Amino acid sequence: MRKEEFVQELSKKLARLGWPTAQVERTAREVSDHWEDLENEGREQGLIPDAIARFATERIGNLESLVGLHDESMRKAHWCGRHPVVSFVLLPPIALLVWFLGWGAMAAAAGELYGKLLGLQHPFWSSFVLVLITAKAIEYTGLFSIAALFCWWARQSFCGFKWSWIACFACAAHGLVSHVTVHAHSLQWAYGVAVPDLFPVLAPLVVGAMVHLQERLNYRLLTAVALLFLTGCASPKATQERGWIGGE
Amino acid sequence: MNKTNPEFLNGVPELLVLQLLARREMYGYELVKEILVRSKAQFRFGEGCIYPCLHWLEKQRLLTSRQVEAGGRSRLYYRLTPRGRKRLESLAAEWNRVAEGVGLILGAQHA
Repeated sequence: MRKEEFVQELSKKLARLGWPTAQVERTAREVSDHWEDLENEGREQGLIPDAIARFATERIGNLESLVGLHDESMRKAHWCGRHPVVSFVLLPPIALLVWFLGWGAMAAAAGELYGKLLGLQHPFWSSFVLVLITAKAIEYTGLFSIAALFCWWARQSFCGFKWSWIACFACAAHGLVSHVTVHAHSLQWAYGVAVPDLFPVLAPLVVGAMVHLQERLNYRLLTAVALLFLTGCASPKATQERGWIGGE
Repeated sequence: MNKTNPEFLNGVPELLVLQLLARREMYGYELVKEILVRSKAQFRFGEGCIYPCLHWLEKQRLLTSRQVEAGGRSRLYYRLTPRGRKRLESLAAEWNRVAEGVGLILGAQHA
């Protein structure tokens, strides 16, 4: 195998695992440098070019086991990599509950304070619509934020797409059984089997899909296509008179 | 046998890397060469395996790295942190304890 092929394949496999781009690039650069050093060593030993490539391939080791070793060692370097079930299955629903209770308590206190400062005659939270909008806003922003936070955490801890998807499914499962209901003079956060609101179920899955797509899209290709459209198609000249990408 | 021994035996590459980097900072290829020369090629491993080990040690804050430009090439040099030095001392002490115990048993069998 040639150096370029090996390094490209290594980068592709690490990126597919959901590694942060910076770490993939760093690993590829180091392995590439190492490969060059091995080639130089082979040359010093008087090997012919084919033998140099074989020498470097043998010395650098098997690609699959190298990827496996990288993946395992980086995951084990993080607490959540060693305890992925706790981190990405149990913690997201707890985080959602904490989010709702925390922001709910803060909103209630801020409303009370605001009412006192302005000397309002009625309690600030006496409006049903205001309570409904605030409760739903806290719930929905929580769903997006917590799902996005755990996706980010999974990537930073080298746990990859698998565990970021699991965290999103945990949030979606939470959305399936948790119900926020607002009635006159009451706000309820309850768990149970009932007709679910589809938004809390779908929102974390949308976040998971967006994170996955964002990481897998080829930005260079997209930029090239965008530039082609912006420059080539924007030219006032007839197609046969244009140079490359609408130039002269 | 002490419960920590299997873990300790798994940590041999960690001990070797920390020991070699305690002397001076090195980059990956240099480190592999040093291991092979000093051990008289007793260890056989895919040389790419050194990088997961180095990255793991860096994540544990036992090593730090810095980019150095030399001879038209940019290399990532690794060096030991104070925390790494402490870890090295404890690993080396543990290694000596186990090696002594194994030596005593092997010595008794050969006697």
